Amino acid sequence: MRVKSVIKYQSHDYIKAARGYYLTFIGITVFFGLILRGRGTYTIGGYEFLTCIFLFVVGLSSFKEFFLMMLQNSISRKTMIISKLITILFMGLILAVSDRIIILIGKLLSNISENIEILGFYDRVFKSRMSLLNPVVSNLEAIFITIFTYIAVTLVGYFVGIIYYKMNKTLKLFVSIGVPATLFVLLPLFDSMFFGGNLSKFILKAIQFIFNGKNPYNLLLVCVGVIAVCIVLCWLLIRRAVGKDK
Amino acid sequence: MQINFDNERPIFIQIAEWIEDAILAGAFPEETQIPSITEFSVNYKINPATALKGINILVEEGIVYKKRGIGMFVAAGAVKKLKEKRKEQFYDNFIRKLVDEAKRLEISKDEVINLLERGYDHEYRN
Amino acid sequence: MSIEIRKISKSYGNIFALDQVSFTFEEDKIYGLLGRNGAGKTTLLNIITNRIFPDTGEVLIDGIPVKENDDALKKVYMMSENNFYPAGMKIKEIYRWTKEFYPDFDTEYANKLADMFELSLNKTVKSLSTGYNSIFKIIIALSVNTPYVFLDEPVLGLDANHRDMFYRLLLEKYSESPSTYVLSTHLIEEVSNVIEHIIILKKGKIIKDESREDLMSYGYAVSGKASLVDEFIIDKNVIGIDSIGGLKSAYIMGQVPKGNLPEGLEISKMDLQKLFIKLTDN
Repeated sequence: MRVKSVIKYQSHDYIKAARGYYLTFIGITVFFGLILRGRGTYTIGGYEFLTCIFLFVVGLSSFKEFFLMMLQNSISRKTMIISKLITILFMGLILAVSDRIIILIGKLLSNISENIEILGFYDRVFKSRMSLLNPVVSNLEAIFITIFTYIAVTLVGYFVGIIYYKMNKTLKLFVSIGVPATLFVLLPLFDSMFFGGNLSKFILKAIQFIFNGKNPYNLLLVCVGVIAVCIVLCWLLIRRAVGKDK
Repeated sequence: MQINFDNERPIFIQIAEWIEDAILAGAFPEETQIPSITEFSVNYKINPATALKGINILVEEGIVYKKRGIGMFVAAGAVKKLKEKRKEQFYDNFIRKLVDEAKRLEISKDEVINLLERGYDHEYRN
Repeated sequence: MSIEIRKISKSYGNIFALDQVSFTFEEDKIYGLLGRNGAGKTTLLNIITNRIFPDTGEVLIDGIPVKENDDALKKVYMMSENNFYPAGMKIKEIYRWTKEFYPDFDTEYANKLADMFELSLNKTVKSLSTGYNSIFKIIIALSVNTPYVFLDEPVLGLDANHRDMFYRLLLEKYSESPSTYVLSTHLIEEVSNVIEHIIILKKGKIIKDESREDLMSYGYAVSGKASLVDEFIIDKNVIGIDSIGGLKSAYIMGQVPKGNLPEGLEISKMDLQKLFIKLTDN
């Protein structure tokens, strides 16, 4: 069945990328571990954050090459997106589990050695939640939440990738400069000028809501929402996409 | 072995004629195999359907026949059949054209006969 | 078993790239899809293979609409100028994935062909010259074993030896295990004897859809003194005229007249390229 073949193809690419990512990370960790032995502390917090960046970039960069390869092999766009979603699901699962394992190993190392301290982003943010539950359940819950986060991030990256593909050069330039400029320059400016700083307060409140230390399910809700929206948008964009050899 | 295809007649007819020429020249003796459709197609870069059509003409005329599972063979008596066919066509294909050209160049009948004799002599001396 | 093209139209802005195009690709034949640059050949092929979408009309493969349908799409393969394969992928990896998506892909045969063309399987797509870019795609097209194979300008960049090899391999492959092959090209003379059926596109419209034999059988040229030619062609379907000094050649679609011609006129058959040029001239 063609869906299976496409998943195989996509996974092959993703796994290659993930392998590189993990090797790099482990390499750097070992490197610093060796350098800093006995000389200072080496703290890694927010490890999942790195994985999120990795997944976003992978989602972003994978569209064009994948899309064209699929067209060349006469795969329908329907099959493309279904396979893509399944692959992203599996990737999210695998990475969430392996990241949690790495964090748990890290915690172990932190207890043993005085120089290394490896924490998870999730553990730091949802500390109070985790302390309420027994370790097994809290870690399983962590994996569960992380899976959705990873899927959401990958899909956002993918969505941006599709948009970029459909844009011509000038539009791409405009967006690449315009979006960050709007977010980080114009928005704060407008905020202080017109909204009296309320916009920033609102954004802050939203972040606090999502990363509420006692209730990770706000984050889950947001992720599910993002996933749903992305899936719809991605499908709408792909179904009319055509092959371009830029 | 080359075939120079011209535009004047359909390719499949030219294929048939080429095979006939080869049979008459002894290149394909009777009861021996002639090249397959694929061989014709690939060697002369023509569509197999065209090659097939040409060969089928010869099949219909009884010049070649098909041995199932093996290929196409020159029929017994093919040479005789071909010679007779060509003799009948000789008048149309050669004599008429010769006479037309001779008339165009105002060569008299006697002069033509002299030329014919010269032609036959020439052959034996070679 | 066939590919039916039904009233396909596609326009870009005000220009009709394809205008109500309808015809059929039958099974196990070698077709020539001929047309000048910009006539709409590539657009048509892209629509048949679901790469772009028509404005109106539909394409049916063995009765199933092609659009977004994997059952129909797995029966076609197209090689074209476009490079849709990942630039950094090695040829042998491409073979491996082609086999994954087209289970009937004959890897052994593909490897044999790579040898014949002296193509190294370890090379990446981006390291290939234009010629070898065409070659690796031709090899896949010949090895993929789908019922319908489309080759859009297959011999782009190929030297004479490789072009010759390609046509021979195509005919050999076709003889041994027939499929429908569609050669879309503007190199008319080369493919003339290889193709069985001809479809000519002119400015987005089909102007000819016939077997090569039929098409060739009723096209001829009549030449001689201009006044004689003019008289002769009064009731004929003339598709083009060349004149030098007092001599004229008129190109006519119709049965070659039997019997005697008026004195001073000569009749000759047109080759396919000439016929094509006269039919598609403006």
